[in-house]
Amino acid sequence: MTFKIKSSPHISVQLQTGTVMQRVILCALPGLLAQIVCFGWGNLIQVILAISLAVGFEACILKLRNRPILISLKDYSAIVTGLLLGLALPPLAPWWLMAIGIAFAIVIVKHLYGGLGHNLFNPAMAAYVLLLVSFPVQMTSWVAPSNIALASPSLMETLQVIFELKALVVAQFSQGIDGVTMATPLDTFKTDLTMGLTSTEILAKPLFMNGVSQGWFYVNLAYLAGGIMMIKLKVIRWQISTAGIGSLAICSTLGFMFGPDTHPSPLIHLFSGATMIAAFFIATDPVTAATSNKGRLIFGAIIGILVYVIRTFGGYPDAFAFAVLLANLCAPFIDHYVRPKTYGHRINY
Amino acid sequence: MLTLLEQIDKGNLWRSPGGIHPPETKALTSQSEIQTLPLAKEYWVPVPGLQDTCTLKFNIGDRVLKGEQLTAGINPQYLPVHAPCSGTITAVKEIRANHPSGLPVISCIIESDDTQQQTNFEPIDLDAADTDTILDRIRLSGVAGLGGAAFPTHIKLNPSSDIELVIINGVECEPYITADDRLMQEHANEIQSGIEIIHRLLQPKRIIIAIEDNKPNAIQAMQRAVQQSQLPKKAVRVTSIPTKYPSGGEKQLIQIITGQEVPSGAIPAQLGIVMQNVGTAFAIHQAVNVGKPLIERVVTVTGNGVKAPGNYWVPVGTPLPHLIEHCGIIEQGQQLHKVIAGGPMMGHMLPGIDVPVVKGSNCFLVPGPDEIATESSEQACIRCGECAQVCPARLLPQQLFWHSKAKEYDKASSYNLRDCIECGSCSYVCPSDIPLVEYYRKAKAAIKLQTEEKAAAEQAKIHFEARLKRLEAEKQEREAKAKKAAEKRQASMSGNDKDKVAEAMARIKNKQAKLKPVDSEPKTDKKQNVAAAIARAKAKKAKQAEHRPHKGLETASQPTETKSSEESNIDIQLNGSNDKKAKVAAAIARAKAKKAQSSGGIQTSQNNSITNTPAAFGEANTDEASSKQAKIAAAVARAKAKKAKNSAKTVPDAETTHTGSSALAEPVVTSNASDKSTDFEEKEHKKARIAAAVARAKAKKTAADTAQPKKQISQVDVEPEGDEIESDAQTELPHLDSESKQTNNIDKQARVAAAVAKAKAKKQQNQLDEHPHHGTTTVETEDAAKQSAEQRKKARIAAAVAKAKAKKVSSQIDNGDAES
Repeated sequence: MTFKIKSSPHISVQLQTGTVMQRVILCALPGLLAQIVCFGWGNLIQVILAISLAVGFEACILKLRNRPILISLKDYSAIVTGLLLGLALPPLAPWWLMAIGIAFAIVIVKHLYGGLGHNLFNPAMAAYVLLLVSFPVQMTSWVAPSNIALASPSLMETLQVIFELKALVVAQFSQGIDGVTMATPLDTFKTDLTMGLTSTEILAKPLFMNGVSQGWFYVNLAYLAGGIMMIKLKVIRWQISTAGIGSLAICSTLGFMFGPDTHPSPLIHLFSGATMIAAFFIATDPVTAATSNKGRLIFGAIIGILVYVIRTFGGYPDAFAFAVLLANLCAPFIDHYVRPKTYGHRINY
Repeated sequence: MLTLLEQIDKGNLWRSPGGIHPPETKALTSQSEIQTLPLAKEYWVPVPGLQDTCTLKFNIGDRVLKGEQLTAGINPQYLPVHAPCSGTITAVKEIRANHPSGLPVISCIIESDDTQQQTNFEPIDLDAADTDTILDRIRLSGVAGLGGAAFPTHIKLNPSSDIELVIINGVECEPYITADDRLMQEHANEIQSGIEIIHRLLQPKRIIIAIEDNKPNAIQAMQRAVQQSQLPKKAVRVTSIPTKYPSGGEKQLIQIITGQEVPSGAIPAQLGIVMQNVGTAFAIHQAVNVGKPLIERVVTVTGNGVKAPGNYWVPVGTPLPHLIEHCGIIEQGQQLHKVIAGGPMMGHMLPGIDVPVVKGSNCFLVPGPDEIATESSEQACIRCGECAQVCPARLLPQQLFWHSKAKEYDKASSYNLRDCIECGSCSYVCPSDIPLVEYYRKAKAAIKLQTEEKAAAEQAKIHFEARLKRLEAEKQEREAKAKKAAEKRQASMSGNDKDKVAEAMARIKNKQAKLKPVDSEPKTDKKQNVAAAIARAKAKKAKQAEHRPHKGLETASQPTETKSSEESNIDIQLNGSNDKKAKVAAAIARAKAKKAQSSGGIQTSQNNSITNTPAAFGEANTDEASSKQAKIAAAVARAKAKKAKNSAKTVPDAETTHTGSSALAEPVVTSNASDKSTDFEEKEHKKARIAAAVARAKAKKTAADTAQPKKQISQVDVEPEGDEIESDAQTELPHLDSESKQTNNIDKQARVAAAVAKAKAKKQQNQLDEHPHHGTTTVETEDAAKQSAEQRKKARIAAAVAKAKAKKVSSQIDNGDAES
């Protein structure tokens, strides 16, 4: 009698990549819910569209690469990419914008680099930046928070806008004439600053009621909750998010202290725009981040600092996408130089 | 700042990085008392290294008693093997080893009998015994580390450095295993006795008994035993450590207890720490206080695959089927699914069940069908970094994996692959089901292989370079000698009243010598000979034309062979003045030299170093010998030259009595030359030479008797054996000379032709050498072959063939000349 030999260990924790990804999706749901509440149906439709496209593209490219389609789809990585891009695009962005973005993310950024685990850049963020650079108008007109908007599009209207079914509706909503869409709070702040307004005057706008970004505040809170859940579930480790948020908080606090008139408060920095979703769901993508604990702290800190620098001095308001991509570039470098001291290699002998 | 010992006394613990918390599943066996196993029919006791490091004390068929020492080591540090039962040795054969490889290991098969008679176990009186006695007893009892590695305990207990801290390892962090737990609960006092012996041997400042906090009963039992011990207070303490895998690893436990890290590649003794397993402490007690060798140990048999999981006293050498049958297999479709030796984290899956229990076996896990995950396929690494989080050695398993998989072993090494303890934590947590440890094992094996190959290559390189250096040095030496000799000769020449021809010749020779190193290639060798012959002929011609008188140009020493022989020839020619007789004599001398050379060539067959003298027969085989040969050649040539000159003076008319004069001159010359050469010859290959000479002489004789009876030949016959090489050489050319002169008086031309022919003959002979009988067999060769005895038969035949050929060729040329 001869047994089949298998190398030790003979037991393993039954946690698969797919399970990890499922948990990520679950933890992102509160944020999605908050986005629906604050900005209407747009993001839900975008997420559904993005996930369908992502799965479709993933299946096609797996077929082309002669990889097992079903097994690979079960790792949920394509779905997570779709979800993140769906959450990140403006709710009323046209469908083709999403199609271009997903195609770029899945086909070029992920699979042309070797598929899951081999991509250098975060697919969702690379696609986001591509779209932002290529289609700045569509990418920067966000739906006004529902509680201050003059009119919110209905589900039907949203569908019509996204899929460009009725030219009139599209024109009506996408131009932002009647206050349905407007710039994001950080964008507004930046534009107003260049127009000579002080921060007090800017914050007096309805968009910044009570000193926080309307709508965005709750969305960010929801993502923060989801992020803490992920850390609790050990889906992600705390280092990247904490370092990212921490360094952004420190930078914005310093800026606010030295120039309160020209700098938004740390509260606005932390709870506006993509701060929380990026810090917990995007920057923590293990494939493109640094791997050691210390490396992750550095990686997170780089993102936080870059976000502040881009938001304050850069031309684009959407700092996180750029910051994450730049930090992705640094990750191999960080990993090479930041290594933990192996047991028995301390010098004090 | 507290010292380390004070911190230890306070109960401080440090944190070991990483680690995992797999399901313990110890409840299967932790409540069952250690049971005794019924006697097996036979026992398979592995005797690794039999005939190599140890010998068997019994023969097949001998009866042995339980506990009797089976093997005796050649090395004093050898750990003997004991009989686990009384019975008869039925076989010594190879069986499958209890090892992941499953490779066979030599084992002693003992068929047990029912008496279970044991040898007399004699305890040692601890108060009277000294350290060496105790250590010797521990060694002779075969005590090895029972934690799994089975390292000889007596070595660990006899460290070269002072030991401050002894850690008794009762951590048992692997899931499923409860052998140490039960042993501590049931035999705490014996373990304590063993610890006292360890204390006696090592005299440490502290002994810590470390137990994971998931074994409260064992902790209690050990604490009670410690309280009853006679050791000073504070010397021993029981420390409970947090449950975490792999805290029981030696390095990890040291880190937890002391906060120190064992330097990479070092042993704990370097930090003043020694670690022993609780089972080992028990075995030490048994060996010293009871006198019972290590012939059984506690083994956990567990898993849902057996009906009666539990702990058993299992004799070392028990066949595993016997053990598992006793525990009862739960049927899994007729056959046993798999058995893991050791725990689920670090144990190895057995290639087959037919293996013995060994000293390092602490557990056999027979999992049920649902118990162990089915093999899932490896997926892409998503760089989640969980492996790095759990690595107790703070490695970066992910990087190690990339590089191991890509076979970039140098890079894997740079990530400290060798510090991996293969605990399996990384594989355990990997969400992509990558068998990381397997990759590391393969990479480690490959690196080991590479290192070994590299070392071997390095050694070969060193050898090669040393050889090159040596050869270069020898070459330099030879060149230096040649140069010196050339200078010397030049100096002696300039002091004399020499003629222009001599000067010119010397220059040519110098140039030749410089162009061609002493140990030149075979081709250049021959060429050189031919060239020399031509040059000589020319010189003679020129000299004859000028008819100049001159003084003796005896050069003092001429070490390099070609030069010396040519030079002496020139000298002879110059000395010969107008005297034709002298010329003939000189020619004879030259011919002799040449003959000698060619016969040397014959003897040495393929070896083509320049040899002008018979001394080269054997020596020509090595490069080192060539300088020696050169000297001999020079001496011979010089002697000949002198002789020739003398004979030239004494015999006035060569034209008419050339045969006679050469006959007169030859024997003396040859004997002189041979006198000198024999000094060397006697040392080396004398036998061969003599034999060859005899053969040649005989061959010649026969030839002469049958074909051309001559005076020279009769002289050859009377000459002593040692001289016959020379005489042999002489027999041909003088004859040739006389013939050619008698016919056409173009002796010089003939000589040149003869030289060329000889060179050719040599060449041919080299080719023929490998097939001595292939060439044209003459009467001579046949005779020679018949008469030759055992030694150097081949060489002699070859010599004869070559000679015959040379003769043939030269005579043909002579005939041709004559005809023309």
